[in-house]
Amino acid sequence: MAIDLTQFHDAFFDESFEALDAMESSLLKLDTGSPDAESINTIFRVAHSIKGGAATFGFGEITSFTHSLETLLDELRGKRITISQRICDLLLKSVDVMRAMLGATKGKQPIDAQAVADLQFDIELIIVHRDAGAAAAPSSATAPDDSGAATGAPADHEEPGRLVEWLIELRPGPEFFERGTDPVRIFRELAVLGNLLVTAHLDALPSCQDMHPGRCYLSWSLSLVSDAPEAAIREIFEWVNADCDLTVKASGGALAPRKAAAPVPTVLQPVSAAPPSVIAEAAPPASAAQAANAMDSGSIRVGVEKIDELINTVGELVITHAMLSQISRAVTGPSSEALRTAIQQLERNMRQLQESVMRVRMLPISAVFSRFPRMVRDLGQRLEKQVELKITGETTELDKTVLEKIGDPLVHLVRNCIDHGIEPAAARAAAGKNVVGTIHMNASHRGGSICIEVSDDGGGLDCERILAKARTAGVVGANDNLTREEIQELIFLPGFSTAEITTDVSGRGVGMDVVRRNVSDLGGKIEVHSERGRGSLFLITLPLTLAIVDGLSVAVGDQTYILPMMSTIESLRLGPTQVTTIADGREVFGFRDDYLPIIRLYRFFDVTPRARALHDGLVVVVEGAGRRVGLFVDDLLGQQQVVIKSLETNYGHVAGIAAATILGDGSVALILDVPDLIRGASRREAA
Amino acid sequence: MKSARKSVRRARRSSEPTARSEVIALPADCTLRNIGALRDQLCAVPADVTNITLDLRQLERFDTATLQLVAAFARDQMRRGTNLLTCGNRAVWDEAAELLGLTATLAGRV
Repeated sequence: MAIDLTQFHDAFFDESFEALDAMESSLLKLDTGSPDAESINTIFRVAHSIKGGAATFGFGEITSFTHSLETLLDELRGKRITISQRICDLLLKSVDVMRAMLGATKGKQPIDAQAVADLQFDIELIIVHRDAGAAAAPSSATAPDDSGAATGAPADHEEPGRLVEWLIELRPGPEFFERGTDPVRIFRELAVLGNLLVTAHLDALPSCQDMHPGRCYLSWSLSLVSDAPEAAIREIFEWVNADCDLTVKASGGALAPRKAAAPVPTVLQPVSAAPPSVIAEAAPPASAAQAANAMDSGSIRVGVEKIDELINTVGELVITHAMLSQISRAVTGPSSEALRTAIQQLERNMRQLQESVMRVRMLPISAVFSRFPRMVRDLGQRLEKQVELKITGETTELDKTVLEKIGDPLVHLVRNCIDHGIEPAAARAAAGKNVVGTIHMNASHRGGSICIEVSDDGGGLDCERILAKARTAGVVGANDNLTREEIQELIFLPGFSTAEITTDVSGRGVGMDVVRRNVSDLGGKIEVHSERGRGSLFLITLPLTLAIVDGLSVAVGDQTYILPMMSTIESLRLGPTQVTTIADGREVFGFRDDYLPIIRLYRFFDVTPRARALHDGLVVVVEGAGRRVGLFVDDLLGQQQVVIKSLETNYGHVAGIAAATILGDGSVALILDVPDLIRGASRREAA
Repeated sequence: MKSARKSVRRARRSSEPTARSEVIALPADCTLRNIGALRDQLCAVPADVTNITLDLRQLERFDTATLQLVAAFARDQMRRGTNLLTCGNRAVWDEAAELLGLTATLAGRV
């Protein structure tokens, strides 16, 4: 029965993107002077794995490109080509191209064939000209003998050891080729180890007319006279031994000691016979080792929607528990105490379940941080600045959705740090600084929040220049006196930039505005602390998750609203003399050496309040969109964790409202979107 | 006697099939993704062809699957008594054939 392979496409794309991240990371760590063999193997594995998967799924362009890339990597692995900076750059470009190809294929969009062809041409050019740039690696030139076998010249056995004749039997499975494995490359590697004689067995080879051309019908007997240990021979077959029968024996009939970690499977598993593991099988390099690792770690790949469904159900459970708890208070009689005890037990179990489920969605921030070494390297090269990136706290976990959305703001920040923060080497040297600038990215848990810091040791913000620019733009009045912190806050204003030259890196003044908006949209906030000549620190504070929010319940009329705790600063009752009405009728009150406007929530949401006089209700000071305001409410009801229910999914967007939740009594409360509320109130006042 | 021999020779010549040659140009990309087309191309060679030349001049990329296919084709042709030749840049082709132990088969000797 034919298996619909499209069901495995998403898994293939996900794994390939992850593998490309690993490849990029290995490339960035690669020391071109003395490359680490394991790093090259990792890179090779990725290319081989993607090629295998792409071939299985019929993504021809990806297969073809990765084939060329794999050939180059094979040359590098065999030390027939020396890794230079140019090759390293080319390999990094290959990562970009493969990402783009996978992205286009996944989105069913056309592949940029020209970009692929150009890079493939460059790669093949290096392979063709390998002799010119090759290391002093031995030649694997071969010469035919009468039996049609090939012989290889001895390889780099500078220290002569005991020569052993190894008898190798290779019987590939029928899908050997289709999984991206090419025996000629394996044999070429073997030929480097010593004298190689190859005999092909064509007994199973049908006529041209009858054969399935992609299927492997050949098998081989090889004799290798070499002083290489068995492990070195087996290593060459490491990525294919799940797809073939392989025996390696020392001549004389005695079996040479086997590498315990590399058992040779004797049963082939065709893809069609084992659909759940098709990806692993489609990726021969990863198959044996990676599958084993996957088994060892006991991990499984689960769709996000399944986890979200689980979280949603747990959320419903939280609400049901709150309802039960409320009902139990009214229950009297002999069983009431037992009922309350049982509900308490239910609460403990439910909290544990809730925490466990939430943890499933938590991922290390390294998934986002990992893109920055490459970006810093490329941008540093482009701007001719020497920049070192330090990353700490990359194991800090945060919610997947937060993780996905925090990437772009961080990109903006890091680009700005390199473009505006870090000075050119000459300027740094003149200032007595290390010519290599440093950007430090750190993540940590603080209370119920995640803190992400991006700092640089560059020139810092030029407050005088920012203020002058703000005055010129009319953002700040000519006679306004601003504190250093207030001046630094100006960089987050829309369209504000002090850059004299607008480049494609930064300078249009949209970056920092977007950063603040994106962070606000995630329920977080961003602060900047900068010192002239010493550098800047951007501190982003984010909620741990977007599924549950710590909220302050407030009452306005018969409605209950939830204010996210992260936006809440303080609540206070204002005396009649503390409020000032300014010329346009707006009410403001003094708060910590500042005047804050008051937003009457009942007016904003058009509900009938219980309190209209400010001294009859309460003002909650909140912060959002870079501003602080006082929200006038009837009363505070308490602080509680609430499960977020999307309003937009179930109803539609409402100004000033982020989401909804269900309270213990079954009623619906709206969770306020503080930044949107502030922006909306400003617009209304302006109108 | 001599004229009798000549007439026999003439008679034999006239009964021998006319030599017919075919050139098969391998495309630039002869890898797994295009191998179906290559097989169709090889299978389309008429049975009465006596000399087949594999033209490798355009060939840029090939893999073991291609060599296996050509090996099967070469063996079929050898059994049929067809001469198989190759032209073009053979260095890489021959090196791969040697490494795979297919030199003799591709030359139509086995």
